Amino acid sequence: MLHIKCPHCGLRSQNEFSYGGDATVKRPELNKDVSDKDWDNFVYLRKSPRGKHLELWQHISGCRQWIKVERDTLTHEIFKTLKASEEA
Amino acid sequence: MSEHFRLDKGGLINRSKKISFKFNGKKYFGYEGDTLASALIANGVHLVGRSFKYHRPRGFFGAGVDEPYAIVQMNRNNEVDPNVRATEQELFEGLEAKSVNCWPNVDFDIGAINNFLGKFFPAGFYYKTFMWPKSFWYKIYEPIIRKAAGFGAASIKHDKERYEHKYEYCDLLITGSGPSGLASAYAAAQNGAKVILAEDKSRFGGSLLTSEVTIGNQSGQEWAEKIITELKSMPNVVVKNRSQVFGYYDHNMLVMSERISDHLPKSEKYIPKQRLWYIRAKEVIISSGSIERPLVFGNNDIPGVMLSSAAKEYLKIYGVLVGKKPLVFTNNDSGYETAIEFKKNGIDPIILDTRKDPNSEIIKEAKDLNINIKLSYVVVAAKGYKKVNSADIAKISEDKKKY
Amino acid sequence: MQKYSVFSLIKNAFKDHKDWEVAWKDPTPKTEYDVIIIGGGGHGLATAYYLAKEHNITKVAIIEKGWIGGGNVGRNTTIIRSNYMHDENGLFSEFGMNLWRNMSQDLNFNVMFSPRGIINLAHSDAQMNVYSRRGNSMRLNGIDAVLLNRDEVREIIPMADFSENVRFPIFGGLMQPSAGTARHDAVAWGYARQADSMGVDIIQNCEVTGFDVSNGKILGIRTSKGEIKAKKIGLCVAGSTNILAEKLNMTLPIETHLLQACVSEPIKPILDNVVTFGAGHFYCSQSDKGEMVMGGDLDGYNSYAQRGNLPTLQHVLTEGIAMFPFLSKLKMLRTWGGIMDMSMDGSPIIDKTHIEGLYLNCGWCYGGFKATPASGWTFAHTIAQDRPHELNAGYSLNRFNTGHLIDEKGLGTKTWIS
Ligand SMILES: Cc1cc2nc3c(=O)[nH]c(=O)nc-3n(C[C@H](O)[C@H](O)[C@H](O)COP(=O)(O)OP(=O)(O)OC[C@H]3O[C@@H](n4cnc5c(N)ncnc54)[C@H](O)[C@@H]3O)c2cc1C
Ligand SMILES: [Zn+2]
Repeated sequence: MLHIKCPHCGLRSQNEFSYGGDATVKRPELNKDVSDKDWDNFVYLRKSPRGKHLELWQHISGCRQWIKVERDTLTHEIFKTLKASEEA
Repeated sequence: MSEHFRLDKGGLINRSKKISFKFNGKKYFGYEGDTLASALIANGVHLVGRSFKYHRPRGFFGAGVDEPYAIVQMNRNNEVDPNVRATEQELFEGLEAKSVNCWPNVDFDIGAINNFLGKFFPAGFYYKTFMWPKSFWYKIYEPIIRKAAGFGAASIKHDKERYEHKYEYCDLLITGSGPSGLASAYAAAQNGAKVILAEDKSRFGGSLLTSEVTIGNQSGQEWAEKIITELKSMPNVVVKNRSQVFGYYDHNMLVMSERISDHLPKSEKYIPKQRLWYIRAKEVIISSGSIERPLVFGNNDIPGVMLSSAAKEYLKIYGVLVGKKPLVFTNNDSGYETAIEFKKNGIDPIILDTRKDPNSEIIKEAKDLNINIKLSYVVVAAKGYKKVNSADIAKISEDKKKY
Repeated sequence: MQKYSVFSLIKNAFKDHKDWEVAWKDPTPKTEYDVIIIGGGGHGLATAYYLAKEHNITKVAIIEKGWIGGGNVGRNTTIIRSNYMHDENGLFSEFGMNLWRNMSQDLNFNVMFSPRGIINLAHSDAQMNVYSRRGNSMRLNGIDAVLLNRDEVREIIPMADFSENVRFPIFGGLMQPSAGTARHDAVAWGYARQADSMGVDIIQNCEVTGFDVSNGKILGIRTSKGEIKAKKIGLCVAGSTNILAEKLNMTLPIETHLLQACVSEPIKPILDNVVTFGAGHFYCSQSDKGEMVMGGDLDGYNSYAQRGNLPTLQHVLTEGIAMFPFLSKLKMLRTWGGIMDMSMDGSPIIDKTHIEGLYLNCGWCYGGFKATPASGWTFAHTIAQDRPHELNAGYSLNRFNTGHLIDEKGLGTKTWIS
C-alpha cells in the first residue's frame, strides 16, 4: 500500500486517495478553435511511461484536494508531491 | 492406544494435561502443547494422506509451516476447515480430523492405481490425449478429470466465524523470534524504538528450542525465555506468537495473520478466529531462519522419510521419536545434531554422509558417542510403501561418476 | 511433427518417454523475414500460426524477450466468453468461440477447453433490465444467452448469498452457457508447437530494443540478438505496448495498468461455472486442480510492476465474500499480477499504422485471453492482406479521433471513476 505525502496533510496511506491519471496532459484552451486532433490528444492519448510519471491524485478521504505526485511506475518509488497549482 | 513413540521425559509439552482427539474416527491421546502431527507420530501413525495425482501414501515431512504432505480436514465447532497442515494445528480436547484425497480410506485407496499406471501419466500427459473422439472430451474425459480435483472439502455454508482487522505502525517489525530476531528486538526496544516481534509458531525462540547452545551462561532456551519476558514488559514492544507475516507490500506495508482461536476448542464466549494485521513499518528485519532443503533420492516421498531438522524438532519439543531405527542422510553437519539427539535418548542412528573426509567438533562428538558413521555414502532409494522400512545405500566412487 | 494421441502416449511410455520430439525448436535468428511478430504471448503465437496456416506465409519469426507464455497468456484467469452487446465485440468474440471449440483438434494439443457456462449476477431490477437487453442483443447475433431468475440462479450456485437482508441481494443473472475456460499455458504451447512445425522461428530471450524506419516504411528491428530485417512487423506485446510505441514516436490511447488474480488451496469440486459479481468487480471459477480462481479490478494507477498491491486485493476478496460467504474459510495459495494494455474505451485495437508495414495489436484490457484465436486470425489477415478483415474493421486505431468508440461497458482505464 503506497504511502503518499499530501502537501496539505502529510504522509497518508494510499487508501485515502483516489487516482487521477497523467498530470502532464494539457486541456485545450477554451473559446478557441480546437482541432479534433488536439481533443484526441487531450482526452485519449497517453504516454504511460515506464519510469517517472507525473500524475494527479485526490486526497479524497482527507482534505479532498487534488495533488501532483511524481512516481516511478515500475518501482512505485515516490520522488516528490506537489500542490495541484505547482509546476513540477 | 498407547504412545509407543513418546519418550518418558523431555520436550516442552505439558505432560500433566492429557488430551484426547480423533483421527479418521479413531481415538488417540496426546498432551497439551502437541501439534496434531506430533501427537499422531507419538501414536505411531505415519500414513495421513494421499498425494494429488498418483495417490501415493503421504506422511509427515516437516514440523511446521513448510509441511507439504500432512494436509487434513478439520472439524471444529461443527464447521469444517479444509486443508489444515497437521504440523501447524495445535492439539485441543475433542479435536477431530481426517485424511483427504483418498477413497474409501487412507489405508486402502482406489485412486492409488494411478501410482502403478504412472508410466502412462507423465507430466502434462493430458495435453497429449483425450482429444478423440471430440465429443468424449466434453461428456466423459473432462468430467472425470474435474471430479478428481482438490484436497479437502469446503462447506458451502456461510462461514460463521469472526475475523478482525487491525492497523498498526512501528519503527521496526521483526519476523521470527529465533536468536537473531530476539537480539534485534531487544536492542531496538532498549533504544526506545517501537517494535513488533512476530512469531509464526506458538512458542518463541525458534532454533534456540532445538539447538544445544548457550548464550552467556544460560542455555539458549532459558535466554529466549528471559528476553521474551522482558520484551513483554516493555510498553514500546508488541510481541505476538501464532502470527505469520505473509505479505510484504509497497512502501513497507506488511500483512500478518494472527491465529487467535484456531488452537482452542469450541467456546461459549466470543473469540475471533483470526486477526489480520496491516503493519506499516519503518524498518523490517526478516529473521525467519531457514527451512532445510530435502535431498534427492528414489522414493523420498514415502511416509517416514522426513527432514532431519523436523525429526530433531519432534524429539526436542514434543519428546517424540519419529522412528526407532533412524537413518540420517546428510551432506553437512546439521544431520549430526539430529543423530546425537537420538543417541542421547537411547536410540542407535546410522549416519550416511556424502562427504569424504569431513572434520568438525560435532563429528568428533558423534564419533565419541560411537555413532555408526558411513562417509562417502548416499541413499539411492527408500524402500517401503505405506511406511519406509529400509533403504538402498551406496558408496560414492572416487571419480563420482558411478556408485 | 509427431502426432499426440493416446497411442503415442502408450508407445512412448514403453520407451520411458525418451523419444518425444521437442515441441518447438530454439533457432538462431535469420537476417531477414517476411513477417516478424513481436511478443510470444497468446496473440503473437496465434498470429504466426494463422499466417502460416491461412495465408501460407511461413518465413516468419516470433521475437519474445522472455519465454513464451511468460506474459499475460500465462497469468490470466482463463475466462472465455462472447457475452457482448455491441455488434463489433459480439461477432468478433463469437467467431473466436468457434475457433475455441475446435482448437484441441486443430492444434493436436488438448487445451482443455471447458464450456462450463458463465453467469453474471444482477443485484437490482435495473441491472436485470440491462442484462435482458444485453442478452437479446447477443441472441440477435447468434450467441447463446439465458436470463435466469433468482431461483434459477440459486439452483446452480446455492453457495451464493441468498439470505435475507443482504447488502447485495441476488435478483437473477445473465448466463452464457457455452462460455467457459481453457488451460492457458496449453494454448500458448499448442500454437507454438504448430507454428514451429510449419516453419515459424520462435526466438526466445530476445528483446526488441528499437526499430528501423525510413521514409515512413518499416525496414526491421533492433534486438538484443542483433538487427533483423523484415517486410512487415506486427506488434503483439500487450502490457509493453507503450514502451515500444515510444520507440516509434507514437502516442496511443492506451495506459498500462496492473491486474491481479489469486487462487485458494485446492478443494473438492464445489463450483461448476464461472460467476461474476454484479455489484462490484469480482469473479470466480474453480480450476481443474480444485483451486478457486479469483480476480477483480485493476490496482488503480499506472504500473509496470508485474506484482500487485494490497488494497485492491483486499477489496476484491471482500466482494468475493459478499458473493460467496463460504470463501472466507479458504486459505489463499498464490497471488500474482500482470501488466495490462488498457484502451480508453475498453475495446482492442487491431489495425495498420501510419508506418507502412507496421501493424498494431493491443488494448486487450481484462479480456484478451478469450480473444487469442480470433485476434491471431484477424491480425494475420490484416498483415497478410494489408487491410483489416471485416471482423476487426471496428477495432481501428483512429476510432478515438473520429468518435467511433466501442464503449461496451465504458470502462477503459477507469482513470476518472475510481
Ligand atoms: C490477472 C489477469 C487475469 C486475466 N484474466 C483474463 C480472463 O479471465 N479472460 C480473458 O480473456 N483475459 C484475461 N486477462 C487478459 C489476458 O491475459 C491478456 O489480455 C492477453 O493474454 C494479452 O495477450 P497476449 O497473450 O499476447 O499477452 P502476453 O502473454 O503478455 O504477451 C506479450 C509478450 O510480449 C513480450 N514482449 C514485451 N515487450 C517485448 C519486447 N520489447 N521484445 C520482445 N518481446 C516483448 C512479453 O514478454 C510477452 O511475452 C487477464 C490478465 C491478467 C493479468
Ligand atoms: Zn490532504
